[in-house]
Formats: sequence, structure tokens, C-alpha cells
Amino acid sequence: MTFLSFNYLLFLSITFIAYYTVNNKSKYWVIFFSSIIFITLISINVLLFSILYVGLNYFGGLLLYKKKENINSRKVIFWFFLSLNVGILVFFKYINFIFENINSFLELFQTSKIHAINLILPVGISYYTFQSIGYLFRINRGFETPEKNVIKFSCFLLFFPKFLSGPVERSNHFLPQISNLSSINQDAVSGGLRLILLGVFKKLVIAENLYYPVNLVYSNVHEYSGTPLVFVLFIQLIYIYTDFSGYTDIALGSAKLLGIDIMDNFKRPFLARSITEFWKRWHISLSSWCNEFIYLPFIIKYRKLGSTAAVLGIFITFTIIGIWHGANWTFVVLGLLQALAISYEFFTKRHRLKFASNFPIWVTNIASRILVFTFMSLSLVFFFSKSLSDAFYFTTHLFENIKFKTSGFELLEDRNKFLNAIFWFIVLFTIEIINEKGEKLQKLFLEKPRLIRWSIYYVMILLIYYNNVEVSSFVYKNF
Amino acid sequence: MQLKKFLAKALIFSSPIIICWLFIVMIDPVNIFNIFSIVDRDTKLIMISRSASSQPLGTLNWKAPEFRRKPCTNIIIGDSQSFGIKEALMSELTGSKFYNFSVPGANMETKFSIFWFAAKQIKLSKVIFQLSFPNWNLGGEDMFPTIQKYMDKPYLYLLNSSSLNDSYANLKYVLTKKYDQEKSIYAFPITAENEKLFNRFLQGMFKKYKFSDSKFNELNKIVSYCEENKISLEFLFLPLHENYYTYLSDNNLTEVNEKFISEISLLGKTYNYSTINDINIKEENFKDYFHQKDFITDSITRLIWTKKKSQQTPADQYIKSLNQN
Repeated sequence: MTFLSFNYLLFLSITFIAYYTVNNKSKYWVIFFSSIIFITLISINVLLFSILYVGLNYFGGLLLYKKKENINSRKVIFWFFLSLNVGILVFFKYINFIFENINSFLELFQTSKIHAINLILPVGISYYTFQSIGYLFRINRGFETPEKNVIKFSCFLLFFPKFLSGPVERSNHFLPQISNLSSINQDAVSGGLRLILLGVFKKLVIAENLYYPVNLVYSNVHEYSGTPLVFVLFIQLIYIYTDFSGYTDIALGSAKLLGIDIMDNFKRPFLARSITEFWKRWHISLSSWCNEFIYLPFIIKYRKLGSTAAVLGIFITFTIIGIWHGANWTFVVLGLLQALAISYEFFTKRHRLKFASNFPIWVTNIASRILVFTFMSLSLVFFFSKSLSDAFYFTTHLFENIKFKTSGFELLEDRNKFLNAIFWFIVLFTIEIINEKGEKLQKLFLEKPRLIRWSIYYVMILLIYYNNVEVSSFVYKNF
Repeated sequence: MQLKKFLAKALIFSSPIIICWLFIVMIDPVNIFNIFSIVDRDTKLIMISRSASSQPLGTLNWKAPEFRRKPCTNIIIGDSQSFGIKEALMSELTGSKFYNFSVPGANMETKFSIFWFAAKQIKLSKVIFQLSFPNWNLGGEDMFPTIQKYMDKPYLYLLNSSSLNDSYANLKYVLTKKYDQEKSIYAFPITAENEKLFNRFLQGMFKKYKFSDSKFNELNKIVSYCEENKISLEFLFLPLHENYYTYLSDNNLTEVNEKFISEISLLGKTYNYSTINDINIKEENFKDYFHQKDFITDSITRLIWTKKKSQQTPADQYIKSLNQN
């Protein structure tokens, strides 16, 4: 069952009615059972696996707390459960990648190869593993007490709106809410529905109409050079943003319908003026998680090394962010590129600010945003490419055979839908610019008469309806 | 109480959407629900064929559920070339009922899916498989999964925007008796413009020509299945306009085309009207570069499947003589 299906709509409606029919004290049971049903509809094996995961981390948290006074025992328990979580993730996600690389090395010595293991990656594992690790970390540091109610704890890891592709929620943000569920809040429900509508709009009206050329080129990258590559280079960031933020909006909206707030993943990333800032606005749940549980502990531990620790910390953190996305060297390069850029910004901040002071602020803002967009577009070549050789081919053939007559439109299935998608992206981007300036557009919108608000909703629904074709899956479901 | 208030508001908000869905169900442009309809069958068929974009999926959306409701042991599978073969004429000539399952725009993948679908619905007796070299090379997705989805879950048809477009087109026609029939960009008479478009189309199609083993293997599977299940399988190649053969010749593809036809001939009985002859040189025999006119289709049908010579018309004999030249 995907978010963009009639079944999900039906499932969400039934959950909503059941949720607000029961009393407040029993509401978490509805969340629990609906999440179990949701996962079961994906696969029984995924359900069994995730229940095991819940059990593992539930008992891990309790044990950790029980031994809180005994530092050595606590350390052992913490590292044991952390290793278990990481080990399971590495096994399912990276073992065949590791074998592949070992085999490449063994080929030099003409020894027998290690056979790949036939594994199916459990859906959502990257997300709930990180959530579990964050939970254990916080208990270990004494920032949090473990959740004693196994059902409530299960809700934290298995909550259906975020199960498939995040956000990487924090236990201290989610668990207090699950213990204080309340009656229907009209504003929350309306807000949730608006978010779902916006998410579906972003996915179907914008992302789906940008998907075709991106997929076409990356499926057969060696057949293209010049203009088609440049064309895809500049639309792929828009594609992945609208796809992933569309998913996030649906997840946030679904949770909000049930009166639960989960972390947002995006905060107007195209308005970032540096790569450092970009990662504070893009996939925020993941980047902030890595900042809290990898980067900060590392630089605190090695603070004596000064800026060396900071740079090492950046490289380690972004290598992990890169490789979290998938078992391929392209993702490692993706992470390293971010680390390089952020390190560069770290060391050159003073010089860049001095240089920028020679220009009006609006010029430096626009120039820096264009540079960030260009850099991230180039980085995404490593995100979408199937291999390093494909990625290098893409980047080295960008300016080969540039023909100004061909515009890349020959890659499109439907030119009008593409232009329509770009138009609506510009509209969304304009709204983001206005929101960035501090204008509360949403508040202004909600003050408008119902006729105007509903008319805008109907226009969005009509556009969604007219773009409802065979949809591709959400990109981040693959991780 | 608040929940009831919210649900009532949600119902009011959803009412235009529900009304749209009811409208689609009442019109039922491709007879997918087949409950009742305020529009007659003939109007729906006209509306399905009104444009190049509505015809392929519209025809398949119509034919697959219709075949599932009333399967037929004798079928014709093909594309727009064989779409005009009349079922009544086939029945008259052969004495058996036929269902023309040809779908304009169907590529080989779609045709294969149609065969397997039909074979699941009923024990087939005779299959006429219309092929053509340009269609063999046609890319694109198999259209059949879409209609399979609608047949399994008809409510999904309501979520497709083309269903609203088609319903509106039907209602508009019922009320005004007028509609815009989209003209093919390749439609005759031959002009410099449509000839240029035609050549560009063939260029795009044959630019990366590669003989597809997988399609041939799939066809072989069908041949084996028919042999095992004693299904009579025949292949049919219909004529294309002379300019097509000129293009093949100019681009060293004639031999490849002939090899393709001869390889198909090895698989089963083949009626080959796709040779350069006096039919294809005459513009008046064609609607466009790819499609012969209905009278040519009827003549060829009579020539191939007639049991009695008396069923053939003088025109058929003339067509026969043109094909032999």
C-alpha cells in the first residue's frame, strides 16, 4: 500500500473515524493496531521483522536505564545494542556491497569469490534503525527515561505515516505526544488535510512530470551528451525536492489528522545561501539526527584536536549520510562532496564574507543561492547514477555537443505537463520566498472566506486529477 | 459530536467530487461498469475513436471487459491496420463468430498480453495475429496492465482524468450531435508537410533498430501454446503505402523487413499483403501512409477467408491481381 492509493485513503479514513470514536486513553491502541495493519498490508515478513526490532530496542532501553548507575555495565549494554542495531542494518543493506568489493580485491589474487546472499531489504529499516539508535543514545546519556509501555513504544517505531520513508523522528518529541492524545482538534484536522493535499499536489502535478526525463537519461546515460544532460542536471533537484517533500507532507498531514506532530524534513532548501545552510533545510530529520548523534559527540570527544576534529567530524558525518542512502560508491562520493563543500565554507567564511561585503546583499543572496543550487545539482548526479562510471560520464559529457536548438524537450513525454509542472514549482517557490521574508501566508489564507479557500482546494484537486497517471514510487522509499 | 460535524463538512466538500464520479458511472464511456448508461453504445464507440490520444487506451478499455463478459473462441489480434476488419464479414465468410480484438496503437507487448488474456477467458479455436514491421519496432509500455487494473478494481477508473474527459465528450455529443474528429497528421492527400512528418517518424523508429529476441521468443511461446492446445494460429501482414517501402529501400532496411516476414512465415500460415505492389502505389487505396482504406480491408478479408469463390466480388479479384503484380 502506498500513500498515493485509494486503499491508503480508505485506510486513513477508517483509522481517523476509529481514533476519534474511542476515548483519549485508548487512542494509542488505535495507532498501534492501524500501524500493524498498515505494515501487514506491505508484508508479513516486514511486520515480524519490525516487531523483533521493537522488542530488541524496548528491552534495550529498559536494561540501559536499569543499569544507569553502573557506568561500565551501561557502557557495555549500550554498545551491545548499538552494535546490534547497526549490525542488522549493515547486514541487510550493505553486506552484498561489502562482498562485491571484497570480491574485486580477491580477483587480483584469483581466489574464490564470496557469494552474494539473497536478501530482501526490510522496508523502512534505515529509518527505524536510526530512530532506535537515537532513543538508546538519549537513555544512555540520561536525557530520557525509557518508555515502559511496549504498545506506546511500538507506536514510536511503527507509526504508519512515517514507517516507510521517515522522517527520522526523535523519541523525546514523539513519546510525550503518544501519552497525551486528545479529542478532535478542528484546526489540526484541517491542517492535516491541507498538508496531504499539498503533498499529493507536489508529487502528482510537479514531481511526476519531471520524473520521465530524469529516469530516461539515468537509465541510458551513455546515449546522451550535452543539452539533454544539462537539462536533466537542472530539473533533477526540483524533481527530488517535490517528490520527497510531497511524501513528507503526506506523512506529516496523516499524523496531524490524528493530532500528532512529527518532524518536518524541509525548510525552504532552495533559499539556502551555503551548503552548510542547505543541510539545515534539507532532510532535516536525518541531518539533525547525524548532527546530534554523530558530529557533536565526535567533536566533543576530540575537541583537543580543534578544527581538525571539526573537519574530521564533518567528513565522517557526511560519509555516513551519503552511505545511508544506499550501498554504492556513488553515495559515498555524494557524502564526500558535501563534506568537502562544508569544510571549504568552514575555512573560508571570513574571506567570503569580506568578498561579499563589496556587493549589495540582494546580489550576494541570489548569487550564493544559484551556486548552492548548481553544486547540489552536480552532487545529485552521484545520487541518481547507477555507478561511478555513469556519474563520471555524465559530468564529463555535460558540455559536449551543446546544441542551442535542442532544448532537452525531446526527452519529454508531454511538453505541456512539463511546463505546467515548472509553472507550479515557480508558484510554490514564490510562496516559499514570501514565507522566508516572514510573511505568514498560511495565516492570511486561513482568514479568507471559505468560498475562496475551497475554490483553491478544488483547483488543486482538479490539477491532481488531470495528472493522475501511472505513478512512480516515492524516491526515498528505496532507502 | 465534533466528529459528526467534521464528517458532515467533509461530505459537503466532497460532494462535487462525488457528483463527478456519479456522472462518470452514469455515462460509463467504455462500458467498464456495464450497469446502465444514458449514452448508447454507438455514440461511445465514436467518442473512443475521436482522437489519437483517446483511441488506444479507450479501445482496450472497451474491448477487454467486453471480451471478458462475452468471450469468443475466434479472435483477431492486431493494431490499427486490422482494426477495420469487420466481425460480421468474417462470420459471414467463415461461418464462425469472430471477435476483433485489434487495438489501435497496440505495440507487440500489448498484443501478447491480449493473447494471454483471451486464452485465459476461453478455449480459443482460431487466432489471426496481424503484424507489421514498423509495429514490431514500436517501443513504449504494455497498455494491458492499466486495463487489468480497471477490470480488477473498477472504482480506479473513476480516479483517471481521461474518464472524465471521455464522459464529457459523450455528453456533449449526445446534446449537440457535434464533435471534433481529430485528423491524423499523416492523413492523405500526400503533402510535403505530412511526408516530412512521416519520414521523421520512421527515422525515429528505425534510428536505433535492433532485432528483438525477446519479442520473437514471446511469439514463439504463443506458437507453442497454440500447437499444444490445437489453436489455429495465422499471421496477417496488411499493406502500407509505397512511401514506406521507399524509405526501407533508401535506408537498407528492405532485406531486414523481408527477413522478418519470412521468419514469421516459418512460425505459421501467413497471409502477406505487405509487399510492394499495385495496391500500395495508389494513394486512393489508403487513408494515410500506414492504413489501407476500408474497401481494401474488406477485399483482403474476402480473399483470405472466403470459403466460396462466389462470396468474392469483382473488386476483390482486382485487388488480388494487384497484389500479385
